[in-house]
Amino acid sequence: MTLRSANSQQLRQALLFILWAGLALFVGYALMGHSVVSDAYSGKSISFFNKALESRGEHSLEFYQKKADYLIYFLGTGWITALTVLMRLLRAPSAVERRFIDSLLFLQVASLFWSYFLSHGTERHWYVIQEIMTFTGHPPYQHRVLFVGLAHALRTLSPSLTYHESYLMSQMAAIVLALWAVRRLAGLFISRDLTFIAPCLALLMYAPTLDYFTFYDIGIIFVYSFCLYHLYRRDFIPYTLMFAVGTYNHELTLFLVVTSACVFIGRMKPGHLAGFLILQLAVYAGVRSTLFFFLPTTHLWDGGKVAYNSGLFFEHPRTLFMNLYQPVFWYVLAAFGLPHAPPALRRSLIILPCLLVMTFFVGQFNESRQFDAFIPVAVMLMVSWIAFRVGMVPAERDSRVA
Amino acid sequence: MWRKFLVPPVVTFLGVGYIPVVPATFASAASAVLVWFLPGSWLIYWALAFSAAGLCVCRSSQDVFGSRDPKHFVMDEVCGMMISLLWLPKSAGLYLIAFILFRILDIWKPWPISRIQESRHATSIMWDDLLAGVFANLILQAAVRVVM
Repeated sequence: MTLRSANSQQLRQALLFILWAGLALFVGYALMGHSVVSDAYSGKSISFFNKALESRGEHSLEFYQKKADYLIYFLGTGWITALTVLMRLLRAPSAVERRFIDSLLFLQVASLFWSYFLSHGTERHWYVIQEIMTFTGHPPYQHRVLFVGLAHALRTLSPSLTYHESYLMSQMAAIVLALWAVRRLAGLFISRDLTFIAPCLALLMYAPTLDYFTFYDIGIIFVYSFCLYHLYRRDFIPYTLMFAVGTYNHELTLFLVVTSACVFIGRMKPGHLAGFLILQLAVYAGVRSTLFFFLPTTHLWDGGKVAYNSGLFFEHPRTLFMNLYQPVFWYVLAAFGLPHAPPALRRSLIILPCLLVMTFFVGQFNESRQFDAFIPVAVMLMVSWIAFRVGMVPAERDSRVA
Repeated sequence: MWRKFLVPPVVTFLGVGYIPVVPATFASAASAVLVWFLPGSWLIYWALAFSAAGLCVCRSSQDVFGSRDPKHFVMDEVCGMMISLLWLPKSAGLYLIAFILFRILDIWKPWPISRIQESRHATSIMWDDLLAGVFANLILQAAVRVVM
């Protein structure tokens, strides 16, 4: 190793250390920065911080909190500069450095998703978090319990958490899981170097569908991405396990049965396919039975949806257009990927007509979130198109995708 | 034949690409100025429409200009700059930072942008700048959130 390359290696390592330390500092400050300043102001923090605020009598607490904010902005600027310099050195990074950049990109998209979720989500009177968590919610919400269970587990760990806080933490987990599953699924269709595009696209597609807080919408993206990944790879055990778990999140997993039938028809022995479909239906029935047993309900969904949707089509087409033009726009983009997508992905398009029919009978067309289950397929179609256009289709794609 | 008349105005961003010195930098600046006057909520559609137009004429421009990476082709910088400004608050300082950051990323091409440049595909001349725009936007979104 030459002196120059040894120096470059040390510089890289130093920059990587600065970046990780900076990231830890920013996350720590975001979580508890102001409360540490507040404690130091009243002399209750560690002696170093208490001493830093020695002249506390002269200024208000807000003055010090603002000062701490400015310090973080200053450090943040240095952090971005270090990141930029590192990028110069990382035209051909090592495997560890690639993982670092990849993780950084993932964290960034997840934090953007999270901040969008916080700023645009709201609680509505028909979906009150406290009612959902006490299982007194309006049908059919009370049977979508997967992330409600997680929120309860968090409250058991930390009883001081409010219902709202535990809800938000459960959704933080849902966001990370959904983006992770989408990125992993994208690895089947595009070179691993570019899989970070998929979570970005998933965020762009999900963003306009966010209207009010629910426990299950982001979970649907996670469950569908996870299941499709294993379905395409013919890993039936993890698929079936997630299918069961996902049914606790939302009854929409029924369409995965239809999808698996379409993906494997003519490509699997009829007996095997029939057995696989029967197994899924049995699992679905089993999970739903436990829900009805423990959380009995008088009806599954609100009535009158057909009349409501017909009214939208014939009397309020403008409202319908304003609510659906964004997903339709993404579907048009996704259509470009059709000629370049493997057959299994093309066959998964069946999810969209299933969702349309379901929405007409039991959903509402003015809520584009009804189509969240289609996001993984649409994103993968766009990713397939990009992979073809850039010339970065994974060499082993056709052997890995069923 | 029509290509000779239609493609150059598009890919040179109405002639900006013919500026003899640093045409890409001028194109990025022109794009930032254009974005300043566009309504923010529609910027994503403008960016996608410009990108689609750029991607469609990549191969034609290679034929028209007789080069694999024509130096007059600046549509990639225009689209990349638009993407780097998506969903950012309208502030002159921020636009300037976005412009500088995008140019740094576009010139230095860190991984995985550098991976795209290795591709022999005609449209790769657009994709590396589009990705640089995505990177710049992700960094700026983080910076804006920390500061605000």
